[in-house]
Amino acid sequence: MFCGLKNIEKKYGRLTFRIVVFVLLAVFVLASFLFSLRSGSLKLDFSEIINALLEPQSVNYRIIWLIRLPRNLAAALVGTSLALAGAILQGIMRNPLASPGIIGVSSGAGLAAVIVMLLAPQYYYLLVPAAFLGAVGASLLIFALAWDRGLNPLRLILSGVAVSSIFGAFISALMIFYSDRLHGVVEFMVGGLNARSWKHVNILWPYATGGIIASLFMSRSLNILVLGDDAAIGLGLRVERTRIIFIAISSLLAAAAVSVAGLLGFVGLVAPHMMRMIIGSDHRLLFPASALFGAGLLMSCDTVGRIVMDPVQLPVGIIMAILGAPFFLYLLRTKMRNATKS
Amino acid sequence: MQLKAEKIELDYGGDPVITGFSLNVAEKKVVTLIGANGSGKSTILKAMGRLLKPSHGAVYLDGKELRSYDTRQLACKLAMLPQMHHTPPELTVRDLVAYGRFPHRKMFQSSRLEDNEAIDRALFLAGTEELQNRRVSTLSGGERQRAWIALNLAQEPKVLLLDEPTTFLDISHQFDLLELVREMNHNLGITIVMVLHDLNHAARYSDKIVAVKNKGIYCCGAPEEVITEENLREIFNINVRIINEDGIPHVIPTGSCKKPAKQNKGT
Repeated sequence: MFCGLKNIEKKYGRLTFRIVVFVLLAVFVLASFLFSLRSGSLKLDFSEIINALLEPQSVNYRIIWLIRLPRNLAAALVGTSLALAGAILQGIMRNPLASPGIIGVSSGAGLAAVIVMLLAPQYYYLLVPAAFLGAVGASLLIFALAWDRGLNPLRLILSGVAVSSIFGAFISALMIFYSDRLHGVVEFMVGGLNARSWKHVNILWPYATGGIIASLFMSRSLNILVLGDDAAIGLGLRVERTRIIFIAISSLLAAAAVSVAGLLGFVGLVAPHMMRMIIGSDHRLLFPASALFGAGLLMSCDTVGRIVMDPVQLPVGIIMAILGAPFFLYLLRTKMRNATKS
Repeated sequence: MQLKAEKIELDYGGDPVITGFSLNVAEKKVVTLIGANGSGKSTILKAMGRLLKPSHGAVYLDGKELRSYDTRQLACKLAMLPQMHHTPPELTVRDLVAYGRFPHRKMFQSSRLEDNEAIDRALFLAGTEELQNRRVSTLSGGERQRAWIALNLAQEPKVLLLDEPTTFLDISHQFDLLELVREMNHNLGITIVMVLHDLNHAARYSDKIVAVKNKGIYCCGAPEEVITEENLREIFNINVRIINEDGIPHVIPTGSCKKPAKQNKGT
């Protein structure tokens, strides 16, 4: 599939190639969305779905409107946010291994979530805001530690690793002390969307849309920043300011996503990376492509998780790793082969 | 466009690397900084391109302090080719050169006709027209350096700073590049300030050479004034013979003279 796409580029030029890629991505997102609405313990075809939505009293209405649709939208928004956050961070750090975990959002959200679930289960309804605050707080801590007359990407990565391992130790310690209460914790750590509702969608969409708009407007600045600090300053970019704005956008996006869906680290690493392999690193294209792909990927993986062992639901994080990682490796190999050929 | 450094002191957060350095770069001239490794010549160039803020003194462009310019407006007048730069591999040469238009465009503006013309012109002037649809990852070192120069040209600057532009290039590409620098200076009237390691290149392509030693200027002037046996012994600790070829001094190094100059006199 990948080689086929590249041949289109050779034959018909870059513009056609890009249009084809975006059409395919749109089809992928739409197909994942519809597939997810239809599938589940109760299989519905499209006419049944439409009828259900027209009859607010029916059981099918409740299944579609109150369960599948919000969960599906939450999946799309979480996927979009994490993929976009990853695309931004990989650009800012000039490091293809960067992902939202690096700025501490995962460990921060994880620690806050574990504290709520294990130490204060009576406040379970505060899980999402607590995880959000934990994520933002951890990334602020990491920025403060890495700050020295500016944000140096390498120092940021190293502070992130250090802070994350401290938080990770606390998480493990709490899990050992309260090993009898771990059920919900494990799902949060793996990342899952079970029982996500309109409430969660409403938390997510302002961050996701805000993040998409802001990052699209600033995509050209990130292209310049990638050339290196000296070159970017020479081209008139306010390097420090640009970096801070982008990191703020990505940590808010990732914090919102992680607080709703748990620690789904893999999307933020893999979705932007795959898109970079296909469409290149022009962020004007990479941002929308990553956002679309992240949405489709999470929706389809979540659906697979719902149906594959029905009635048991597998958390989307597990499906993502099992299906996503081999595909990622496949892309990596074809890419490397092509690179050595040309 | 006159670029002027006035009594600048530069440091990287520790002891000063350069103190009391003043330099006047006249319009449409080629000025080259030479000096031993670690003498601070690249540091000076960074300060002149506002990459490094002087702890004392200031750099002026056209009588106005660099720091008081809006950085984007400054980028329309002053361009620089840093020593270290990173090129995303799947970018085409034309994509890269188009980045040179960044300071000329407003935040949300898409590319205009004049941007495209400037990109075409830059590609042509830098001799990179045939390369424009090639990916940067497929270019040789020399071609890549020319592509970056084309990016600088698309910026349409009045002053261009080049930090060791010939490093990593073979001898024919070194000369290609320096000829290109000379053309930019002669035909487009761009003032050039550069750091070079090769003294013969400096002598052949500069109007003025500035030798940097002991945190400041050791001597400066026309190539034949700076490139002399005594000066080079002091600046680089080397013994040289100078011969004159087409009125340009040529350096033939004959060895190191690391010992103090006095003891060396007899040998």
